[in-house]
Amino acid sequence: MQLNASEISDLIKKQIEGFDFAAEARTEGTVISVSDGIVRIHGLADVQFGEMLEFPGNTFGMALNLEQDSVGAVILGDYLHISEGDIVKCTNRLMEVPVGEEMLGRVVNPLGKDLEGKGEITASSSRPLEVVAPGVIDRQSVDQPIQTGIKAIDSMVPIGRGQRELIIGDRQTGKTAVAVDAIINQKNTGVKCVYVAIGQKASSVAAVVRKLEEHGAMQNTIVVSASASDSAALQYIAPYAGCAMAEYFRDRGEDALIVYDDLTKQAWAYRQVSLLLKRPPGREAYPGDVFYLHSRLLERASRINADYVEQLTNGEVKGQTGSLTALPIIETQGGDVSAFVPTNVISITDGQIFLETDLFNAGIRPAINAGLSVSRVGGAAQTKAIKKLGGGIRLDLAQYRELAAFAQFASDLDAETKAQIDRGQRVTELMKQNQYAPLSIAEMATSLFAANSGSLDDVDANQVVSFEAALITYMNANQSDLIAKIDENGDYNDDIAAELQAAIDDFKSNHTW
Amino acid sequence: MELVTIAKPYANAIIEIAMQNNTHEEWRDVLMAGTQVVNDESMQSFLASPGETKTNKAIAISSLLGKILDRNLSAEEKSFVDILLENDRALVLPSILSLFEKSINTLSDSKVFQVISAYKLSDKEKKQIVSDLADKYTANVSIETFVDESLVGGVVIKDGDKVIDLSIKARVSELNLQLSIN
Repeated sequence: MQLNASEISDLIKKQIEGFDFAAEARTEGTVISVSDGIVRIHGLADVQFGEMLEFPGNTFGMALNLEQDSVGAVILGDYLHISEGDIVKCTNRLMEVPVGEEMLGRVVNPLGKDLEGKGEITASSSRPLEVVAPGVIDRQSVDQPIQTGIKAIDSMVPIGRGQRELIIGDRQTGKTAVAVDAIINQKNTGVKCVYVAIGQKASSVAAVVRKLEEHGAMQNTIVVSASASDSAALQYIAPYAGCAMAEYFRDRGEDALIVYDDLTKQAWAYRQVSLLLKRPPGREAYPGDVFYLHSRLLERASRINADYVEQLTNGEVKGQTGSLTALPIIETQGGDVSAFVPTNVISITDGQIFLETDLFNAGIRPAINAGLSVSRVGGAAQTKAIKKLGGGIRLDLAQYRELAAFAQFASDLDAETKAQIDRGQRVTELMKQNQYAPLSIAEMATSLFAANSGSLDDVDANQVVSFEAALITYMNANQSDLIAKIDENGDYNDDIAAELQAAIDDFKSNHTW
Repeated sequence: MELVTIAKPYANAIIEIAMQNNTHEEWRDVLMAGTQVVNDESMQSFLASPGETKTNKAIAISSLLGKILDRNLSAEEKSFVDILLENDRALVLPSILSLFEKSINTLSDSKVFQVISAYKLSDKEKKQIVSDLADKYTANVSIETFVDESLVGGVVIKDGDKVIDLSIKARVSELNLQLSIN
């Protein structure tokens, strides 16, 4: 971009003319000690908890421990130039991040600063990092679905707008893949997404951003990144910063989706900060308020009613509800869900998607354990077609799990048991889905219908995947009217069922797979 | 700096005793003399030496104080020195003194401000600052003046950790921040 010289000096002139210097009494303090990004400050008698502090060299910090005669604070960003005796000033402002439409499509750090070198972001407004979640009166029940485009999730553990659904599993089980697929599937739905990467390798974040760009989902997504090399303080505040950015959309009557990847690392960062601040350690050396750390964050994901949206926008937006759906991710160690942080987050969220290493290695991807995964509120929000067809899938898989151990004695089993095992095997195969290939409602309905109606029973179990792919291609090419009809509002009735059956019969008799 | 926390209970105790007996002046003299003593380098190495017992150190300090003040220490003053030495807190004396003076000022509704200016203030300017501050805080105001040429112009008024910064230097750095943000 070419800069116009007169434009710049005009701008600066305006800024200088509009420069307002307030001669207010400010409280100052002196740095007593600096250690690993934690400073102890003498003075600052009037400081507030969570207040932004100004250090020399355009550096900011946040007051976290208010003690007798001293204040413990974390420095956000580089702290190497801060030394004992430096003057610290109060700013009378709580920590804030820039929010707005301008943030979409950008990769920022938890303070809202650009990380890609695409230039500064001039956001329209800012919001405090920590806000109290909407109260009981301001909320509305979750009754609209958010489609992830993943068959196994949308049919068995449906997620509603405003829900908090945990994605939990060991390392390398595809947790991020599920979340990224969910974001990609929102590209034409108007749902604004925020992906918060906490303590990850910068290369992993770059890979996610590239994938989102490739699939055209970046233009309605904000990526907030506090990578492994950023200070623990930044990793600690990253989820709150991302949440503030997502809440902007919720409070304007839009729908937003936020992914916290992952909260285990945030708890680690918070543990580090707390121990350095000399707060007493508790279980697994986490501080006493690690439950509150996550509960106050996840409580901010909510569906709010139209009255509240109208009130928040001063009447600008009328008759629209807003929602913020959260997909927190937790990484377990060796499948241990009874560790401190996983149990906490499981109890806070409205259900969990449980990913398993064994399933992943057996080639079932996404490696969702259908038995342990639940959604406590999503059922009320599920699309009608998927709800009707998905019920059978869950049942088939549950029966299959009980009988799976006998599968190897197939020849000795009675016909009914054998049929159940066969059905289960095919449904398990059907639930496999490639990464970055989200399905539309109609495509999903077709697959589920094929399984429910028994159309898969005469297809070889190891050909189910190719059968499904060919079927969906056929449906999109030859039955686009039917697909469009189901996609329109996810309806399902006897007419649609008959049309689907006819289409599948036609496909099976006239096509190969 | 952390000494403030340790000094607080001592200062509070002395204030209460002084109020009971109306001996503010005497206590202030003792604390000032004590500060002078512990700031002395040879005295510091004597206090730090492990060869001397605490009792000996207490006796030495008490007699030194007596000589500086040119009077016998009262029983309370003596036992204050004993307790201080017993707890190994002789080096807190300067902090106790400043806390003591602050409390005395609050009790008498007076405030001491540090005024830092770029050049030496004239008497007229000092008077103006004192009367302005007295209006603002409705207290008996006295000021201590310092000169710091790096301020370029204007004054900085300090009261503990409260700072009213009216210097050119602060304005320039504020403008610098504003321009770099936008």
